[in-house]
Amino acid sequence: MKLHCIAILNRQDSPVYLRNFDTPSDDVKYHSLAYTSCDVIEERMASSKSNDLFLGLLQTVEELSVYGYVLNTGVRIILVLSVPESMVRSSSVREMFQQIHAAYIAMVCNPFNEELDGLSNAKFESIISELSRIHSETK
Amino acid sequence: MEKQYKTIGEDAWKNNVEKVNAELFIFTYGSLVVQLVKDYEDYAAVNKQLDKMGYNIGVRLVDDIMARTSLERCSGFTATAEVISKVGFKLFLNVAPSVASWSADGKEFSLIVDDNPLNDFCELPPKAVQDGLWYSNVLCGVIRGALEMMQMQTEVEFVRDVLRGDDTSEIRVRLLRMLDEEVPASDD
Repeated sequence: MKLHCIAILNRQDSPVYLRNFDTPSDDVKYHSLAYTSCDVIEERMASSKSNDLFLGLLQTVEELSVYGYVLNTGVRIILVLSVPESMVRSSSVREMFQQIHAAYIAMVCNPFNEELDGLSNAKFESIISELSRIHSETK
Repeated sequence: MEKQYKTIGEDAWKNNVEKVNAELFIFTYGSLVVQLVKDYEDYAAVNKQLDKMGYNIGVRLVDDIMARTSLERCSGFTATAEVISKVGFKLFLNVAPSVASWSADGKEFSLIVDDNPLNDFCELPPKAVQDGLWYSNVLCGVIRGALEMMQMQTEVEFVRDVLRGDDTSEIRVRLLRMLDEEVPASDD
């Protein structure tokens, strides 16, 4: 399982953070993937009766799977993974989302975090990099 | 004697102190520091302001401690150090700093605080680290103010801070002189 991209969008669906672990030229591709997933997220949130933050698999494009997670404030986190033949367990994706959620909270709680758009913070970046490193071994 | 102070501190914390939500306190302090940084734009001035604020807190806090615990006069500066760390910090922040690095003449010591709650979630921007901001400088002011009410003139400052990349936070307390009981200067 390889982690390709993490995107964080706010309630109005404008991007707050996007980190692409492949070549920078793929940025556009991941931006458009994130936007197309927004509609699916809205749909899922409307139809889901449980208060689960994890939205599950939103869509698959070629060999990439897109997973979604929404925070209580309406902020959406989107993960783009490439999954080889073996299925990926949703519990491990859920766990990844929870780690990102915790890192996001820590970043937002920092009193020196001035603007809420365009977040970037050394600790947050290092946690995300660590996550991508752990999940970049193709099994 | 040391064990006695520890028990006094813990008892008082359990029984005589009203508690407030830690996150509320931490976020309030964080917003305070950020606002000061925005207003003064000079980190040395912010440090000074935090110290002044702490001083004003400290002169009042000491009466609060006396009211909540049944402490008697300290036998010497060593005892004072123990009271600050085991009773003072315990009562108000629920942390237990250790006293270390006594100077040869017994007039200076260090408080090693390794779990300062004010530091939770906080990350200093690189410019703040470069320009020497001590985030929890209010604590230095509190100690200085409290000791001045106890007739000791001191110099208190941070020497290390985890937010600046050091492995632990250290506050250095230096006794300058004992103040004699003075009638305060009248205003006319």
